[in-house]
Amino acid sequence: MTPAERRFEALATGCGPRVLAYLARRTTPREDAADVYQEVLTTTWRKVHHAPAPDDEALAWMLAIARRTLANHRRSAGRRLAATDRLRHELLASPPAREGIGGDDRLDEVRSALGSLGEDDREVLLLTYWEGLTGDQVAAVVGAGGAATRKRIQRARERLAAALETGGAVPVPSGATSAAAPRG
Amino acid sequence: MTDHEELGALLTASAPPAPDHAAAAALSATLARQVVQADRGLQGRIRGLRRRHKVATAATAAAIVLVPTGAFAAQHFLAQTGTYGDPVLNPGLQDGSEQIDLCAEDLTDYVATLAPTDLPAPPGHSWKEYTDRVARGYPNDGGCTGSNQGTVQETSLRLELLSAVSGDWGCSLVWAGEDHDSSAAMEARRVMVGVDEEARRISPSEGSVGTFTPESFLAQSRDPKFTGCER
Repeated sequence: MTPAERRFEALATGCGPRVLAYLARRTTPREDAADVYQEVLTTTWRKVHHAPAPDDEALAWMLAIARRTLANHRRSAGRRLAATDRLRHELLASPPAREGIGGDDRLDEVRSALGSLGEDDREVLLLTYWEGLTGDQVAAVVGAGGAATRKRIQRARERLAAALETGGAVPVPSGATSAAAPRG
Repeated sequence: MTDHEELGALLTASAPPAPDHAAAAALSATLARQVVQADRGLQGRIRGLRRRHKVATAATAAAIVLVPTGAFAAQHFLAQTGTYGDPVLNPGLQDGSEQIDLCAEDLTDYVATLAPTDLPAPPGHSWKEYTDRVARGYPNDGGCTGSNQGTVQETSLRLELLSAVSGDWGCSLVWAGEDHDSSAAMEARRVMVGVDEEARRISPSEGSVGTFTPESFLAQSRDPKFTGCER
C-alpha cells in the first residue's frame, strides 16, 4: 500500500462515517447516500494530496467535497461498486428518520421551523447542530470566513428562535429532501 | 424557547439518526480500496490512449533516427511511465521517484534492477526470488485483468523488497539463536540493521517502513501468537 493509499484509507475510516451520516440526512431515499458517498470518495482519492493533516480540518475538507457532490449528484451517473451496494443495504437496515412517526412535538416544531428558514441559515445550523462542527469547520465547508460564519450562525439561531416563538413556521413535508440537492 | 443552549439541544435532538459508525467505518475502508482500484483502471485506460499517441510519435521519430542507441534500449523499460512523484507538493506521501506500471510485461526485469545487492540476501534465498515475488504480487492479487491497471512509485517497490528480506533475515536471527550460532546471529543482526536503515533513508514518510530491527523481530518472535519462522 502506498503512502497515498494509507492516507486515503485513514480518511475513509476516520472521517468517512460522519460524511456518510451528513449525506444520509440529506438524501431521499436514504440509501442513495451510498452512491453519493462513492462519488465523494472518488474525488477525495484524486485530491488526497491536498487533504489537510489535522483531523478536524480533514473532516471539514471532506464535507465540503460532499456538499458540492450532493449539489451536483445525478442518479446512476456511474458504475456502482460492490461495497457501495453493501453500504446501501446497511443504510436500508439502519433506523429510519424520526420525522413524522409520533416523536416529540417540540422536535417536530423545530424541524418545521428549520424548514421555514432560508437555505443558507438552515445549512449553517444543521452543520453546527446535526454534524457537530465548530464555527471554523462550518466556515471551511461553506467556503466563507470564520468570523462571518459565526455571525451567520448566530443570526440563523435568532431567526429560528423567532420562528418558534411566533409559531409562524412553514411545515416541512415528511422526506422533503431531494437526492439531487442538499437540504441546506 | 429563546435560550440558546436549549435551542441548541433541541436542534441536535432533531437530527435524523446517523448510520452505525463501526459498520460505516468498515465498509468505508472496503469502498476506499475499491475506489482506488476502479480509479486506477480508469487512469490506466487514459494512459493507454496517451501511450498510443506516444507510439505514433515514436514511429515517426524512428523514421528519422533509424537506429536507437544500445544504451537507450538497455536502460529503459516499458514499466517506466516517465512520470514522477512531487515531494514538494505532497510532502510525506511522495518522493521524486518514477511511477512504475505494475502491469508492464517487463516489470520483473525492471524490479530486478532495484534489488539492493550490496546487502546480502538471507541464507537459502536469492534476490531474484524476492524481485520475482514483488513483481508478481499485483497481477496475482487480481490486478492487470481487463481494465484493472496500476502504478506505484519506484520507492515503494524498493521498500517492498527491503521489507521482504528483513523478515527472512529475522528468521535467520531466530534460528541462529536456537542453534547457539553466534556468528550467524551477528551477521543477521548486521544485515537487518543495514536493511532497516536503508528503508528509513528512502521512505518518504516517517514511522513504520515495513522493516524490522533485530530487537523488534525477536520481541515479536516471543509472542505466543507468532506463527513465522517454521523450519
